[in-house]
Amino acid sequence: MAEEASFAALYRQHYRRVFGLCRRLLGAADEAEDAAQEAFTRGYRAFDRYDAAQPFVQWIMRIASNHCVDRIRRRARQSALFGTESTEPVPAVSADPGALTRLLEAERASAVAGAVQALPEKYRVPLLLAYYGESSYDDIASSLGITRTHVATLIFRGKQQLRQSLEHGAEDN
Amino acid sequence: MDCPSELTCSMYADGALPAPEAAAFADHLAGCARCHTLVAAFAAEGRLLAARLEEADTRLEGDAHPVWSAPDDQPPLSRAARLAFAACAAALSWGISSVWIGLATVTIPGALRWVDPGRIPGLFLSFVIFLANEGYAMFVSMIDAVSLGMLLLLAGAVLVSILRNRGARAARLSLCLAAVCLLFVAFVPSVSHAVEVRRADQTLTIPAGEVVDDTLIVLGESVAIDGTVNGDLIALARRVIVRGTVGGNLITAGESVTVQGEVGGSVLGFARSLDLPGASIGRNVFGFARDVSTSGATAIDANAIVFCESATLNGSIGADLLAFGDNLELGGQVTEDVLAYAGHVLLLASARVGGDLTAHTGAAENVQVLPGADVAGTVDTHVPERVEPRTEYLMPSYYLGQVMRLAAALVTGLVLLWLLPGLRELPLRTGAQVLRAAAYGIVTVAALPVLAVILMVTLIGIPLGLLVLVLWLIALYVAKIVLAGWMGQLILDMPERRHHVALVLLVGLVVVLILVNIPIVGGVLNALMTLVGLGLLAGYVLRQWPSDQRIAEP
Repeated sequence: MAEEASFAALYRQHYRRVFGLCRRLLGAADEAEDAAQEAFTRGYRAFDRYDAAQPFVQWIMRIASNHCVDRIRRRARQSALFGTESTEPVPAVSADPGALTRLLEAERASAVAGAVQALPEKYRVPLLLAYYGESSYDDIASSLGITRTHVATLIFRGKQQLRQSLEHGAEDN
Repeated sequence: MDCPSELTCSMYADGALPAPEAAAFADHLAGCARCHTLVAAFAAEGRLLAARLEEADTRLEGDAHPVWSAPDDQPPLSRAARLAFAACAAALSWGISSVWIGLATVTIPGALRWVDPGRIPGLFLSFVIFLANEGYAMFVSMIDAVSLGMLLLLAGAVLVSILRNRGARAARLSLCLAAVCLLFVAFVPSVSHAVEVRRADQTLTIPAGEVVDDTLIVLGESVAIDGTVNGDLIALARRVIVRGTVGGNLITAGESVTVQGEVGGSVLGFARSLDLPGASIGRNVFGFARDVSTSGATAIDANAIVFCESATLNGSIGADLLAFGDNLELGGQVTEDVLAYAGHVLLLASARVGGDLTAHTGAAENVQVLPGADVAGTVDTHVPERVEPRTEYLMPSYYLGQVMRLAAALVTGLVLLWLLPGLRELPLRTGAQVLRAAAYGIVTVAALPVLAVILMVTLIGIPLGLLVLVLWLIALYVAKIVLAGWMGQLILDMPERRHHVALVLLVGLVVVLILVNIPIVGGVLNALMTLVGLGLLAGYVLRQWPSDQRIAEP
């Protein structure tokens, strides 16, 4: 009973964050609710093996990430969803490294979130896992079944595309 | 050190470089303004991106979040408890089986020894190998029909996938289509016939003098073939009489089947009574009947394989005789070997066996070779020993066989999960879900063969019916593999860590293999796991049909 009360408190504290990650990864609110609920259910079942030395939010976000990636794979029905390291083009050199920072400062949060959602899935998923899911590159690599370097390349390319998307959005405005 | 790439700078900013590389990069950073600027920019954009995403969190309507309630299912046992439970179950099974074997008053009758579930897989495998070696022509015909059906279905599925813009699925199905095309081409017979179907409510007769150049399918209450069929003959009736000539194979099923004429290929007969008086069979005879009999004038050029209650064989067999049944009476000639799994074996004085006679029977005195009978080779009588199951476990070959089974199942499972990644996550948490899966499995195991038989009543349905049967057999095999994947997930239950699919599958398969090999109860566990696995497969298929998931725009 005490364990259940403890878990319920953690649920109240971190549900919004987990739901937000699922929402951004899966795209649909109802599916995100299912996924978030499933993530907490799995966490509850494995709660006796949770190591308190690790922040709970990181642990539950890992569970949610793995579950969402599985759902994405099932939806796409292909295992090479994130491509292969050898076929990923080498990222181009940035002419202005600070451009994305300035764009992120200037744009509204909703515009940034929308631009992230518009990214191709293979860039959006690792980007969200890294900067919203608080996952390390190793954790992301394990979740996606790819190498750490491949994760880095996808995130780097994702940020480049994000910058281009925000630049086009700014020009249109 | 030359300046690292921007990618490396980005990885350093995100703390993703391995420790030795990070240390070397930090040293470089101390003296390089350009890289310092890059790293600062990447670190800033990472922080800002995280902040912006958190700021743009979608708000839930009403309450900030749903109320937590613990799931209804029983919490799973801890790993140690599960292992202890499994060990106790295995020990109890061993104890029960040892007591059972040790009971002196109860033995499996020798005639029924071959139906021992533990032996059937081996017998079935032997039969399949024998059929592949000796029944090539019939095998080719069956493969043709099944391949044609699969070609039609796969071609349709590829077309539908392309139309529905499912490129990946279309690619996988195209690979399967190509494989089946190869199979079809490899087994194309040298002479192809069109197919003619005739049916009658009462008696259907092909009169003497009539020649049918095609493969003929005949259906009726009673069928009499006095004419000539140059292709294959498929006869389904309560009473079938073939007095004429069949150039190809004869496939027949009925209450009573009598063949007196000439069959150029093989005979496959399913009947209560299969009688071949004076028949001339160009290749093999496969008889599945209560009674099988041949007269002194019957000539079978190749092998005879009979599954029956009683077999009375007085004709000649050009190769081997393989008999499974209660009573075997042999009065004719067998050019090569005789292998009998029977309650009683009797060789009459007129019997001639050119090779060995091997009889598996309940007691040595159940094999009688009358004076005058001639067996050129050896006469071996095998009486099963009661402790045989135990000695089997002491043989290295037993374990080698299990390792090979495990490897085959692992490869099959990995291919299956590559084709259908959705099978990695199956709904099997609560007792209700297990019961539902078992119910689906019972329906599937019973319904598919019935569906196949119904389909085979019609012309276009024959290849589809055979295809359904093949799919049913494949499903029976992979059912436990699917369940093994779930078991592996359950045992390695760490949702925050992903294990490689091969490891998960291997762990589950080892457990399944151990369970099915437990004496006595292994057969029951095998059946239960097959049913549940079949049910999970059926449930997965039902969830995919129709499958038209769209991603809603945020």
